[in-house]
Amino acid sequence: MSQKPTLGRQIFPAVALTVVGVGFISLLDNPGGGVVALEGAIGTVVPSTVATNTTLAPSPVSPVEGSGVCDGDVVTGPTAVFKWGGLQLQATFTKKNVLCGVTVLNYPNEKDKSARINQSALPIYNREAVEIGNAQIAVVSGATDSWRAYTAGLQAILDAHPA
Amino acid sequence: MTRPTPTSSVSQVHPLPAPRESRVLDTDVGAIIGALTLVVVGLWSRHGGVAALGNSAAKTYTSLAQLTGLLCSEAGLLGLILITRTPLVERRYGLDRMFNWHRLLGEAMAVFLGVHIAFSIAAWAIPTGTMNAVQSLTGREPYMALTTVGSVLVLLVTISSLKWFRNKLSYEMWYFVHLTAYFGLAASFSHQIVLGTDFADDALARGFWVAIHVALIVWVIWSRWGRFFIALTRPLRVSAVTHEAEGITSVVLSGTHLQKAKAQGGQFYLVRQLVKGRWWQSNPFSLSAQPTTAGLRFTVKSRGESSNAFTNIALGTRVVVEGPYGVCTPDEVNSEKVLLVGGGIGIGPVMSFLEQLTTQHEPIVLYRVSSEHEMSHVKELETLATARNGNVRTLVGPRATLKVADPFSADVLLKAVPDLAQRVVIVAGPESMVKAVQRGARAAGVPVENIHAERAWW
Repeated sequence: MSQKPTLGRQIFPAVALTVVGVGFISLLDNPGGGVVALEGAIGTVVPSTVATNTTLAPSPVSPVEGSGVCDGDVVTGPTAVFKWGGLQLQATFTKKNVLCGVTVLNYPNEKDKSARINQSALPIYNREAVEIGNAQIAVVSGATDSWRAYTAGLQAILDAHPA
Repeated sequence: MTRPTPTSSVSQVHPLPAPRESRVLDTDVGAIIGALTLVVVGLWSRHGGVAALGNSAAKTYTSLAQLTGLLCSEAGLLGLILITRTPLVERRYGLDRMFNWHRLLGEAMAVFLGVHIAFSIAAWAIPTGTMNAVQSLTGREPYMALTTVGSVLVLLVTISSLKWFRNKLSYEMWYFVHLTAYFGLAASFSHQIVLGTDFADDALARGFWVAIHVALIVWVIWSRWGRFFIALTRPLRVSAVTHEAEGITSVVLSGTHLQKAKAQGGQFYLVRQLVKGRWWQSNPFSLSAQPTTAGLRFTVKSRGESSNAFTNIALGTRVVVEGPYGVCTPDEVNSEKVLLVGGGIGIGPVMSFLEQLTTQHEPIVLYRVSSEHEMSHVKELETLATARNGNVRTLVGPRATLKVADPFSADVLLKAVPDLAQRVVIVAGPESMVKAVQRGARAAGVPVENIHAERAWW
């Protein structure tokens, strides 16, 4: 080796790269761990008074019902507020308190892209949730944020309505 | 460096200049690896990776699958940089160490890959069942069929590189299996961008990830394959073949391209003869004389089939050389005295090293060889050493016939070289001998940083 490098020469690359790295990370999308808050109370409705007003703009996400007869409670969940808006679910149960249907009451659709993503992903989440009867569903690629909100919202309903 | 243009038509022979020293520092390498790891882990954490841990099982597994997937990619990227043989790094650490680190990173990558696959399947199995998860992750999901092929290739490459397995494969076989790793890495890239939530959902992260991959591809194409093809267009020719001893031949390669070459004693080249049936084999050969514009001399022992072909090489054969590589050069010595230990064919690099030393180094050469018939260049060694106020000692005979059990123990070394602790020790030869000398020299009080040897790398 010729001459010993100066301390500055040794430290500078590490400092510079760390600053750039931290700067870059802070610029990244931060879903904030997913759901920011669950807003609104959980409401249980008796079967006879099931609300039919699932009016959704621009187009509703078709509810999914399981094979069992949904003759139990209908539970409206809180709104899971996340980066792109709010997502609210309504779950129906059988008499034996098994999850048998999920309806999406509200989902982020302010942006066309949000609407598109959710309209394709939410029916899949609905189907899977009813199939397995809980909130441990698989993520659809490209719809991770919705997945986080969906699972948080559904879990809140299930927690409030133990089988 | 500019060279005066030759005024006469008779070209003078002069030694090749030394390759430029690399200005890369250990701290630079640490900073780059550290920053890349910081960004990769930061990216994962920023996207909710840490928050998901300990949540539900599915989220925990998904998060861990993402982290190990990212780290797997990072190890792959760094491993790829090492085999670009980029001079910036090579001149600092030597190809031998780069290949060894490449191997470590390859092993780390395989471990990360295994964990990544296990966690991915576990995460998917929770809602859909294991069979469904395996089906989804090997084909049903977009790009996963391609990715599965990619990871199978990466695992094949890793297995073929395990010492036990590798010894059963020919170098060429192993090498061509190894080349498929390029495809393996490329095949897995699509699923990272499309399925990996870290990149599918975040344009900035995706841009960064694509950018570093594109940069790496350009680097590999230029530094590894570009140089290779340039070397192909600048072949040297065999200008002399000398039979030195039993099975030992010196080959001199010459050509006009040497006018611009840089190299030093102690370095090696990857040598490839452009002969039908041999062009795809390359062998690492050490310089056995100081490289000059007149030619590069390599001293070769016929051992494997491919080096055998070099001992019978015809004059005028076109030979492609890639290099020079290696940092075990006279640069490692300032004004200290020097002890050179050469074992068998390792006397080649010792000679080229010795030739570049001066009288202040008072070089002592220990030449270890198992049979008299295999001794070569003894006269040349003595001339070189004596002219530099040094001398040559030979130790001949199979190990069992020697008077001492370990000819390189500290006691024996100190008896032969009383001022050993003040010397820089250069070793070249079979791996076992190199280790024995390293052990003995350290025990005799030579600081580790004053013992230099090429590490075994295959």
